[in-house]
Amino acid sequence: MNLAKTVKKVYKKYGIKVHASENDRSIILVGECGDWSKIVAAGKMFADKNSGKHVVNDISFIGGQEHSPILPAVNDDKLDGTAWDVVVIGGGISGCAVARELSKYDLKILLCEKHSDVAHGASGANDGMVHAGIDLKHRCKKLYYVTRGNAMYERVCADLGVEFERAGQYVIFTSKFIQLLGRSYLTRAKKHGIPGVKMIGKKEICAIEPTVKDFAVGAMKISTTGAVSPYKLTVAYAENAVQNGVTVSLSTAVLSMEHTDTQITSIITNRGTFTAKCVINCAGVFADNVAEMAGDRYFSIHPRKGVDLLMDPKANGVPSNAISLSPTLKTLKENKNTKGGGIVKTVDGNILLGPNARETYLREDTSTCSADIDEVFAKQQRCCPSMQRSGVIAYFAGVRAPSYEEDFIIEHSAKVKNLIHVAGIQSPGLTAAPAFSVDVAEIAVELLRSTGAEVKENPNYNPKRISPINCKNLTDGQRDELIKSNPDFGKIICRCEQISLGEIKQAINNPLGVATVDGVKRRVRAGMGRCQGGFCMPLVVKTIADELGVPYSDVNKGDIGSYVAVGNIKEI
Amino acid sequence: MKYDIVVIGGGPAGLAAAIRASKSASVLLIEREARLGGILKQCIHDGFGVVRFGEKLSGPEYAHRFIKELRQTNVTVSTFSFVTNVCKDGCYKLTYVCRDGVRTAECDKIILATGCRERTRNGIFIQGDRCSGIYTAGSAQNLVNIMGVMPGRKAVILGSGDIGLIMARRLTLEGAQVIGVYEAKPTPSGLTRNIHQCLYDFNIPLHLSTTVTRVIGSNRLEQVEISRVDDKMRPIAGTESIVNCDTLVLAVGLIPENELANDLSVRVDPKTKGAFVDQNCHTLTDNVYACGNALHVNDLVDYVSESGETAGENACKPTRERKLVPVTTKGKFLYAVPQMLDVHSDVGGVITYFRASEELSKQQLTVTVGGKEIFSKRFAKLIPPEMERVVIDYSQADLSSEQIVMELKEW
Amino acid sequence: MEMVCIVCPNGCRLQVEKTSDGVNVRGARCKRGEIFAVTELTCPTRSVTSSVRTTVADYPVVSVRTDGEIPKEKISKFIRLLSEFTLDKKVPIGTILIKDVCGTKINVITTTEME
Repeated sequence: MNLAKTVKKVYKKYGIKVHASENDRSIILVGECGDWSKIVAAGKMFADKNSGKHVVNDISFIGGQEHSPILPAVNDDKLDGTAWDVVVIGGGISGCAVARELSKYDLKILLCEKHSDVAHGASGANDGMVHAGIDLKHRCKKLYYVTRGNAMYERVCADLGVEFERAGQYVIFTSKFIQLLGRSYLTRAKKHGIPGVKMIGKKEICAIEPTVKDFAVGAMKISTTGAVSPYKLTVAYAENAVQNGVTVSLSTAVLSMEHTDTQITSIITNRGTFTAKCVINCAGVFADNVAEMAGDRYFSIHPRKGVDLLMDPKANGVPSNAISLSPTLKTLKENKNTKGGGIVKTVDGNILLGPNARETYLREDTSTCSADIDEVFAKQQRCCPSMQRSGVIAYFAGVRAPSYEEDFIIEHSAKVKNLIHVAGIQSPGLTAAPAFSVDVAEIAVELLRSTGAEVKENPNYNPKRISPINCKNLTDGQRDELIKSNPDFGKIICRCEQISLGEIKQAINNPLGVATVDGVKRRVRAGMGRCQGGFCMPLVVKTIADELGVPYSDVNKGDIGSYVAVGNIKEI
Repeated sequence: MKYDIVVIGGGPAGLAAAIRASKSASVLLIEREARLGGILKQCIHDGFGVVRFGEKLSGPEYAHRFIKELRQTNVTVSTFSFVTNVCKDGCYKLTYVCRDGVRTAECDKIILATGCRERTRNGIFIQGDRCSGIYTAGSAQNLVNIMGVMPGRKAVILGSGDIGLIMARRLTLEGAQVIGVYEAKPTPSGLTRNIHQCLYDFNIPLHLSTTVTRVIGSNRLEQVEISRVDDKMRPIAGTESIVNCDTLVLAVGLIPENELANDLSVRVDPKTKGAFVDQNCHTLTDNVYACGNALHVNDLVDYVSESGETAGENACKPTRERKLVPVTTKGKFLYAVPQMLDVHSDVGGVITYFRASEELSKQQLTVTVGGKEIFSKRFAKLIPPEMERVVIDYSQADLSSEQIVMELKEW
Repeated sequence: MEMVCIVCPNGCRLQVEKTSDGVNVRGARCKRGEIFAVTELTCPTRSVTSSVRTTVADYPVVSVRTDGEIPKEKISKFIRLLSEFTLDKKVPIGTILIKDVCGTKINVITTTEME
């Protein structure tokens, strides 16, 4: 890449005076600008996949509020002075999957997550689609891992006891011309090695999905697209890791590291300072910060917020399949950063719309605003005009963690010997995680062996998660027997999702020790239904307090500090 | 077990229905919670039963009068029991789970008395952070009155529905600071007397045409953003202001609970969000009755019990073929119940509930059958929060015209 | 002056005038409204509902109310009195917990049946 030329182009296009320099791993940009989207756009202009170099975008954002990371409201010495073979930083899908794959080996493994539960970031706030990978470019890490990861899903979900549905996806063509262009997908699918992609006619798609009958001329069916609950999968990976001997330390934030030029010597957290023979950076939107702590910042993460809307599946005009409109030249121009989102059917039978894509300098800003909701709804309504805005029952935002090259960075650090980066993991990272986590575990084992350490297999490793009882999967007869052995399973606490006290107690006593209202909600859906916890929240709070033997005021919604009650009445 | 009637829901409507039905039928009453009484258990404020008993009872006392009466009947009561499935196979077959296991029951008729639920934050699109400290008024009420804990110290109430007003007073009495009640509509949603005795008595300000547009807080709620709204209830840009608080209580409306009604393919009125019924509380699905707040959201429990009794009374009667004639409304109605008359059954004293869609003064309600006036009543003032009840005698009317019109006009 | 009657759900809007021979009330649909207006002018009273702490299992609190109306200005004193009270056994609904609250001849009764 001719840096000087790109510097000129950026100045012409965005008016930013950029100073660009490069070393063997990065292109480093310095300058200043008052518009974050321009800063990101400038950074992208320097991205060059072929060079193998990563953009480090240090153009400063004039007027951007100083934004310090959210830190857990706890300080103790729980982990102080400990020594680990492997420390995984970050409890998203990447970190949890990597920890579980590593638990096959007889190693002392610690996973640190700064929030009170795993899957707190983008892993818990995406649409759960297991992608086929048809829209990905050739020769990228994303494609390599997505096609492999997709094929692993049945096995992984069976082992971990997580629902997975491979219902396929339909890309709708709205004109004969687009349909013709769409045939290029077939060639691409062949080239990418994606099975089960075929064209279907107007009649067939309209029979499958009547909501598109007014404008569809045909569709492409992608059979291998599936759906999984992203946070349930993340939780299951983490739980199986714990069952196989991994230590998961929640509310634990990595604050800094001590390091030499080539080695991390200690990790400093709010729960104490400890050492690790191998550190795996799965820190999501903070992956570049963690790299910097180790003196190894050679890429930048530019946070990208996406909002998803949850539709009432019973509302009028809501589709019942995963569908999206085939991109046209116009829509491709409008937005290159998202695969365009779509309408997704979740494993729970809900319909999700989204996501959109908004560049943001706030890495943890999961707040929603009505402009986002309007944008997502308007966009997906093009694919299903019969949907009504009143059918939206909930919405959430997640912040994705792309690199400027828009590809995964999964590699052993070239500089720091005991550091592995799993960075730039954005959509379809969920699909890819089962595959790349296996590779990352292997890289880690190789790294440990290269230091002379002996790495044996874990003789007690069990890939099957001991999963909690889900009453919904029982016949009436089985359920009757269960209730007779434990009446708690006959006491319904959450009326909307029909969750029993027994299931809630199981969720509270999970292997990760997450005893929060949101933790229960994510594990067993109590409070996720149409009343959104209005009826069951007080009972869930009571159950948590009773199980832990603490006052109600010690029960949190999520992170420490998110209390639900301040104390007993008459006493405050 | 086989019963004549299964009543689903042990709140005020279900209790009244079961008691009345038990006079001539075998009845099973299924209640979801451990104790009977429904939402009345947590409504410890007074004002219940003024119409029925001429007394100002608290919610639990009102419920207790019915529970005591129920104990004198032969109604089978199954508490902490949750209906998981209902299907029709000749008669109705219900499956429910309870402490003892999975049970089934058969019956000829079902009375739905499933009450209502609250609208949530998502339903009204408040934006912002995902912090704790946001409660529906009902869950705040449960925390304070059942669990005995305080949700927070400094509260903002969004919505002037009755439970919100009641909670404003309740939280104040328990030592919290209630900064204000914010209502997006230009008029209050709750009863006027509640505005006075719950807010004005305690100097709590009521802000109309104002709403909460954003919630701010990393873990616990720290602030809310308040905006004025225009006449279409859209926030007006530039009117935002920030209020510090740790608690937001939402009292933004109630919706009839109709999950089981949906399972039974009961047709629902988009206006009431409850079932379409005839004067006997009989839904369009034969042998399925609906009453109380599951039918339409009432502001007085006395009328909830009344409709429960109507359902209970009529569910006992032998099944006959119905002839349903719609009751058409003209003028500014929010809704009227019943939405139709079964002209084959008694049309003598048809209890009709209605609400105006906006604040109106000097209104005349007239009911005509085939163009002929059979009833009229004047109202000095009609407001949407206050439901009206009239008894209309259709027995002298010629119903063969099948044209029943209720009309609201200025006089 | 105008006031809203809070005796019953009708919420009558009252026009109240002090005259030489007493109080003139218009707009009340019943006698109770007229009485309300007069007391509201002279010595406003309210019935109060609240709860008391208990040591009984499954009942962290039990609901109570005054069995009549107490002067408005005594409400806060009354609430403080309640917070000092703890019920240590199950009692039937309607049990008098505190007699003659703040010298008003009004009692505090329980309003929940403890099963």
